[in-house]
Amino acid sequence: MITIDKVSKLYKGGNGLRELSLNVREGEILALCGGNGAGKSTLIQLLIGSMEADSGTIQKSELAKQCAFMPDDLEFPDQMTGLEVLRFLGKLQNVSNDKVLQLLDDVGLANEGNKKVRNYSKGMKQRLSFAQSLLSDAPLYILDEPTNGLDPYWVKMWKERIIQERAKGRTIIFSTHILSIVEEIADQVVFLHQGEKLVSGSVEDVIQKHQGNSLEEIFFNEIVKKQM
Amino acid sequence: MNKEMILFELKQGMRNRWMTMTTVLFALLALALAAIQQYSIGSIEGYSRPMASLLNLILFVLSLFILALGSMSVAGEKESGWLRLIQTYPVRLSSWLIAKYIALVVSMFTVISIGFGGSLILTGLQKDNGILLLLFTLSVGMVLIFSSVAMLIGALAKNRLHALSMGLSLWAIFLLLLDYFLMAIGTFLPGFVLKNVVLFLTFINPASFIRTSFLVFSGNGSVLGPSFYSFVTFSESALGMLTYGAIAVFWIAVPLLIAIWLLGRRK
Repeated sequence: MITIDKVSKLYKGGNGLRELSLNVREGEILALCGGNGAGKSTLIQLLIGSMEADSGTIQKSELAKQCAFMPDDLEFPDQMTGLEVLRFLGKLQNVSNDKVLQLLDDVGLANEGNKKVRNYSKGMKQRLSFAQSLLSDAPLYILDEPTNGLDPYWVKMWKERIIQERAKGRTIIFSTHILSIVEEIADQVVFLHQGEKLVSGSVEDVIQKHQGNSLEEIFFNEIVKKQM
Repeated sequence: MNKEMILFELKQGMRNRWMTMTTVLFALLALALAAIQQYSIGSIEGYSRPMASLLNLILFVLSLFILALGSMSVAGEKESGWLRLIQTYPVRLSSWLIAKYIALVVSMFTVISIGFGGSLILTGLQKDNGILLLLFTLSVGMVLIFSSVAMLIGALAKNRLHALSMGLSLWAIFLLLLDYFLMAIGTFLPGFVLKNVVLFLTFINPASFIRTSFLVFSGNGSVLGPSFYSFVTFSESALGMLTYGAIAVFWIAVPLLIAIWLLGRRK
């Protein structure tokens, strides 16, 4: 669905991505992991097209050109209510009002829809952001740290929804720091460190190949190796 | 043009506390000036000191609010990630910016309508409110021009604070510094050179452009002095009015187009 070939994007401070190559297959869940400044958000910016690579190519299939995006730390227009925001974004994509209300209910905001977004907690804003990414039924979802600020109940609900979306044939790319979530739901995982690909492959293969008990242990060991 | 975007932006603008404050402040000041004119002169017809004060109020207060609110609104949505999100929707960047522009213009139009409406009610709808109508028309022109400049500042700024500081700086240049500069060079430049500098600055400074338009079209071009006689005569001619119109269109279109281009560049 997406082929990333030797893509580099470097910022002034030296952070960014260095010669990253990656294949994303249709209908799979790909997790992007790494510490702060590893290059996860840069890769996401490149994938949604808000940034241009310094070198390398990103080839997308026709399906991948229709993508839904959930940004990290999005601030909604705070004078508006959650329902107004979602209804507005829905109208931009000709989504029915019924679907907007359904999605608001799905993320547990049906009773809070008429509250202004500025009165929402971090978790509620994050759920609203997730709801907007589900508006279009796009074949590809790109989610930047989608579980940030969610309580355990909503993390579980989020995982279930993502698995449902994959079952419908959708492709999901998400970034996260929580490796237990990756083990539970992802098909492929990519560890990034200082802009480079440290480890990649299917979750089972990565655990077997690197002889670790968990992704967390493998990630820790690989980082230590890199720093020595 | 996306109607939904305009309505969404308008709703946001109308709920903005700063917009409410601007409306109240502008209405109170406009009413106070109209009352002074009414009770000291007994009429709001013709050009007078209170009318000049009203013109200055529009130029100084309104332009400041337009530049601050407009630029921060654009820069804020860049900073908050909202613009990045909107760009993943099937919406053109130009539609988003033009919706913001229209919403700002309509909000400010509401502000001046309330201010001028109140003044007209206070002065009891006299036979000849020509000067007030001219001032209203020029205020609308000023709103159209400064809103466009505000969009450009927002597109250039990195964040809200940067937009505010850029807006204030430009406001100071347009409303204060260029006039001080003119006064300073007026002490040593020969008259004919100074006249050309004044004319040049009139057209590259939208605040001077509005002020000069008011003097010329209110029939008070003579206050500019005898050396500007031919300029005033030209301004009052059909070609002159066309030139003023073209300059206004330039000031509205060019900053907007540059802002769209700047926002469309990928990093």
